[in-house]
Amino acid sequence: MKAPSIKFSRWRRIIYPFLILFLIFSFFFVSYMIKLDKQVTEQFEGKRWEVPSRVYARPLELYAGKVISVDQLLFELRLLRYEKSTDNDIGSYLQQDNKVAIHTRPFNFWDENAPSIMLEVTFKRNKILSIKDTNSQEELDVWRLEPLFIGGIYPKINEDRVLLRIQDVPETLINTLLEVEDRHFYEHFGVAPLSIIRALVANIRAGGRVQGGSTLTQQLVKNFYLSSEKTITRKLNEALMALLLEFHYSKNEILEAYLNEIYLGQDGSRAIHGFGLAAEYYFDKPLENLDETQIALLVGLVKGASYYNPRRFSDRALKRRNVVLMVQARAGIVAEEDLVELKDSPLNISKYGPSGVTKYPAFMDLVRRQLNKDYRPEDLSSAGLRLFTTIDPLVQFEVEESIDKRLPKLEQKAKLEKNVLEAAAMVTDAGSGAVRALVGGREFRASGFNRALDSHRHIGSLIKPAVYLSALQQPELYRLNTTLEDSAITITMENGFQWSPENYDKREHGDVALISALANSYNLATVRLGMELGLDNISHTLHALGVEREIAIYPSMLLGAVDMSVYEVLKMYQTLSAQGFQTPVRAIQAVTSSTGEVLSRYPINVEQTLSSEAVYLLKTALQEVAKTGTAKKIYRRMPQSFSVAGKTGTTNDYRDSWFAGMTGDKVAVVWLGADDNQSIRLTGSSGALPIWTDIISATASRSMDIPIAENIIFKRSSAIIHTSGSVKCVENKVFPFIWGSVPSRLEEPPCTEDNLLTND
Amino acid sequence: MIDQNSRFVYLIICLIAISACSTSGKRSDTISTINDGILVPDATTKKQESIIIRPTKKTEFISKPVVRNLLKKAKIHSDVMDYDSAINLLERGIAISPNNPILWQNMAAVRLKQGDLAQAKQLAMKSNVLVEADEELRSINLQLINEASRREKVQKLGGSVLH
Repeated sequence: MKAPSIKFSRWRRIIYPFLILFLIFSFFFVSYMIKLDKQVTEQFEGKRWEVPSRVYARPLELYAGKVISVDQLLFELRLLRYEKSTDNDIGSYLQQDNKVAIHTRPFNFWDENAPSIMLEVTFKRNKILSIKDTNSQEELDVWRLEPLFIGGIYPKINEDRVLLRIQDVPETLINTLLEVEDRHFYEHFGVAPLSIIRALVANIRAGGRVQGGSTLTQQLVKNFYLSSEKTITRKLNEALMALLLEFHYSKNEILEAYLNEIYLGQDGSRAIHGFGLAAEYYFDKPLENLDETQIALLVGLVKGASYYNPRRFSDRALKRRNVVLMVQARAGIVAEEDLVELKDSPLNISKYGPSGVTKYPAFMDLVRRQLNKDYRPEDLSSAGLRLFTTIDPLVQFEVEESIDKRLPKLEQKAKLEKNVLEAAAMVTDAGSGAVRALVGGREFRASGFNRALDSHRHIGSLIKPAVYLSALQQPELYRLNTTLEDSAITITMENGFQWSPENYDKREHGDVALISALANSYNLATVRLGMELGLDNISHTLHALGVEREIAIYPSMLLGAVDMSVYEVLKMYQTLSAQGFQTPVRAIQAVTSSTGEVLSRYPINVEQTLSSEAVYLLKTALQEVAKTGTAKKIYRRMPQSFSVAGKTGTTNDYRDSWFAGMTGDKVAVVWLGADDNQSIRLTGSSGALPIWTDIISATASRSMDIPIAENIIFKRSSAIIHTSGSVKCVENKVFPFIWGSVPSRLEEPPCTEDNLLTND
Repeated sequence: MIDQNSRFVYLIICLIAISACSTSGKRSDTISTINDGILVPDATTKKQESIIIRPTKKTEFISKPVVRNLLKKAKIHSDVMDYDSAINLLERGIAISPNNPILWQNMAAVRLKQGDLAQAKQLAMKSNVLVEADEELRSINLQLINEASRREKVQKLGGSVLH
């Protein structure tokens, strides 16, 4: 009786530890599997939807009467990667003399879906004369070209993809992919032991790695990891995760994820993931438009996108593609008899991929900031939004070109070291406040310090319009021809410090009409006027113009000892341009979801904060700045008939050179300075103004004819006008006045024998 | 109360008028002075010293086919209460013709329909600054402003009753 019991207990002694070990192992294994399961499902769910936002520029509107040159239209078409061709394919153009034929691409705007059509645009000098739909032979009133894709908003790891749905993926691609990478995809459970053994044997025979045994599911799991370490543990993990993935998701879900996830190339810091984006990146076409050879190349790249990079190693890529073509022929995806011809065909890749690395980082910075008010950063980088912005690549080009060309010359002229001079500029639409160009530094493509938004510098005389506007808002006291006194003044501050400002030319100019004092940017007259009006009054006007920051109330603020960015200055001048209505400076028009549903619109909103009549008078004075004052150089290069208004700004020791100004359709601000705040030995007129003039003469199409406000009347009156160093008391000069404020004879400046030099 | 349909009827009348006499618009934009030398933009304004006549610029405001086209499309969208699209079309017009009071006026009208009373008022005021001598447009703007103000008052009254 004892023997079996001894035997049993011996067995027990042997088995129990194993059992315990097995239980412990099982416990850890199950825990580990749960951990892996969590990891793999999280990754899968996350990855499936992580699609960066796609950002577009404004669409170019073509219509009869539009001011645009043939060259500018061709420039836009080339940016949009239209090909010059006589074939008349979609996405091609052909220019003949003053006519440009375009076969447009279809595009889904946020407000309508535009089909592809054939256009003929006829030019007369630098204007569009007519646009015709060449199919119907009908004249079109207006046509919008598709907007330029200017970049994506990526998550930190910089992945990009164009989301595909499995039903939209060409069958040829799916069949080729499965044929090459995983023939038994629909049969296995995530891992195919036979394939692994087959691959192992093949690799041993070849003495190296020639064949992979991974299923698509395993490859997908591998893509979830960021590193590419090759260890046994990692391989085991991948296999387990593949099994888990197959347990949770259907084959089609896994295949869809794979098509969107697989790594297929590198564009600078941007990783190209998925076949949708790869089609765009390599062929500049949507996936559904690719032929068999192009699909073969993309499938070939799965094996090693860097090694077979078709732009860098075209021979390797061609060989690899032809291997895939043979597989295609064997599987009946392409006809055997076509194989020779197909193998002989070139790679047909586009010269440059549409880069997702934006050319306009400073503008994108503004886009992000404006969107951050309404969207979480993670949604911007992963929800596949489409962002329609306002930037006009033609205007941006002119701004960049001018800065690029002028800065070295200005450095030479001012005897500055090379690359010391920095620049920032912004251009907006006068009516809508839409930002058309933004430059944040002379390195346009680098996303560094954005001087247009973040560099706050003294604005010098750019502040003077606020002083004069404060005066003109009291029409019974101040008119354009009111005589001001430009003479030395010393102001004692509360702390006992005495401030004695000076004019730029260190002289006093005596009696001067208000309009002339502003046109010539006289400091003494301005300080006297500002002190008369009260500093709080000026501060109030600055806020009404759109300045949001608190302003330190010191007399020196009258000459621009106030720090502002280009963006803030632009807002002020935008309000002036808009007749005293604050119009938000907008970089975004609309945001849609990846399926085209409009999520947000950013319509024009206006708010009147200043009297339109006073602004009318001020703008008349700012026109005088350009006609006869500190900015008269403008008209050396622009026709007198094209009216502009603006103001130069120079700060102490020539640290900053500013020009802010407007036409009938554009508002632009240009700043030059050095990052270390050293003197750049340039005035507003010698530094920023030439750049501003370049930009405006290339992009503005409307002269600034100020709409005459309701209560404005014109009357002849006299005034002491200073031009080019000479002083004249002119009689019978026509001035605008606000109704009810026309000066009586007694209030007009007396023109004596001495100063009555001319009748104007 | 301004009726939106009448706004657009007005617009259509303008369009017909323009197409009917598009070549007869020989305008004298010159400023001349008479008597005491005071110049005003329009003789139709109430100022007694008014001297010169500036013809209505309405024809100029919508003479561009592109602006007409966008206005027409805006009307179609507004009629079916697709106000966002209507505003979008008007904004495209403003980008092309920034000082066009008819575009701003229509923006005001659409915003009024949307119930954005404050913006409707502001946009009509903006249009008013641009109308220059066009009394007809000015009068419509004033109606828009009055209507928006009236509705604001009604809303406030409603609010105070509720509270």
